[in-house]
Amino acid sequence: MKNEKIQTNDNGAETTAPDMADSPAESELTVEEQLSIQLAEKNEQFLRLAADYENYRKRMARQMEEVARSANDRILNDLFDVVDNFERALKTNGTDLESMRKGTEMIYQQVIRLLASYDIKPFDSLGEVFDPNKHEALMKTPSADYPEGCVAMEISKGFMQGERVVRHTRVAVSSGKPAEGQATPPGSAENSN
Amino acid sequence: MGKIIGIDLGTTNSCVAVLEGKDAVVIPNLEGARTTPSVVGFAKDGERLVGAAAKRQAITNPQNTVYSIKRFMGRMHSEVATEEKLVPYHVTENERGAVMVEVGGKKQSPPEISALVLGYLKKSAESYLGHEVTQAVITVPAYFNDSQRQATKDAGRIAGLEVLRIINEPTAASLAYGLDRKKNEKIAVYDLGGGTFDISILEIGDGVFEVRSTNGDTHLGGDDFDKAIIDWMADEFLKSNAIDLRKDLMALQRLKEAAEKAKI
Repeated sequence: MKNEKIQTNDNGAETTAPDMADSPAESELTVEEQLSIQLAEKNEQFLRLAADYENYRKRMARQMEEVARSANDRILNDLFDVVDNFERALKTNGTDLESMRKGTEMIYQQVIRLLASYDIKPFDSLGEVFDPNKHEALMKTPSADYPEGCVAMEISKGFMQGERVVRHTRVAVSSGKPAEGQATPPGSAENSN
Repeated sequence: MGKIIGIDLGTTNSCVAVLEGKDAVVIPNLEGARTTPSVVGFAKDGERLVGAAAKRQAITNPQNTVYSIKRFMGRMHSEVATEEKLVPYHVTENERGAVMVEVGGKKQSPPEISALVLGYLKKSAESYLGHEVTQAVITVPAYFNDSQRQATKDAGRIAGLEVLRIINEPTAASLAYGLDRKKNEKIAVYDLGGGTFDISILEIGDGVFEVRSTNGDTHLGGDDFDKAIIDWMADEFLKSNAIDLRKDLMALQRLKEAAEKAKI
């Protein structure tokens, strides 16, 4: 390698120039020496950054755990109120089915309100054109009421949070009208409740 | 410079990951799940569905829903007579006798189908990383031959990914456990997937992996475990109540969910 020297110009930028007697060099270090100093500096910077990143990643993981835990705690605390009401219901000795039904209905409404407080709402699918972005098809079934390709039965309710589907509605999709004289198969919309 | 993604292109499910610092991090897909069903559906209106959405509509559209395409990658039609009978979609061949599937109203090659899954994973990674992804490493079973490896590379290229390396699945698993730092050891890697079960014996020497032997059951996986549990529950119920729950689709569905939960 030629014996070049690095000189700093007025703007502070470094330029290289051949070693000429009449150009006053500010540094007596060779290019190789300069570069190895720079390399050591960059290496040091890199190691610090890598360590910083690793620490940051660990801190974030810890924070994520805490956030998840406190979010869970909030939901769990709301659920305990539901548990309380079930316990109260179970303690009553009545045999009156109608008041039992009413009580169950009240707890159900409480759960629906709880979900609504998290912006989670059930959505209706019966009769809609099957859409895999909202529905999960579990079976096909002949249906006198709904045309082929439409939801003939909701097996379990779908829930949305805003525009996001949290749980897809599990459905039976209509395969069209049942053939003449064909009995309605078990598990189809007509004989389910 | 963009990041390189690592893809496990599975028979039943696929997964994409990226190195963050020293660790591999699994990237959630566009629906927020860590694995994506390797399923592609072609709806009547021409819409293509990939992953969980494709799986959700499978039962309504079985002839145009492709799953287990990995079993056909890089294979000749004459080699897959048994596999062909196990899928509801139409398996055919091109002029060279290579497997093609006829779905969505046209013949498509297994790499073209796999490319749709890879494209979905690519998009998920881009959404997570915030920049375009153009390079990937994809894993394949140790027993894959040259033609099957080439087909996997082709799938990547069709999806817009430069496949930098095809890595054996057991080797990738060993790397994830940091076993490349060991010297001169023999290890057994077993891989129980949704539909396949593989075992491989690897030898490591100075960071180089050599597959010494590989075997397994290409039709045994977690899905069969679910089925065995369902059958056991249904048989017990039949014995005690004289009702076969398998004949009632609603009951069967609930048994299926219970079986999956019990297994985990």
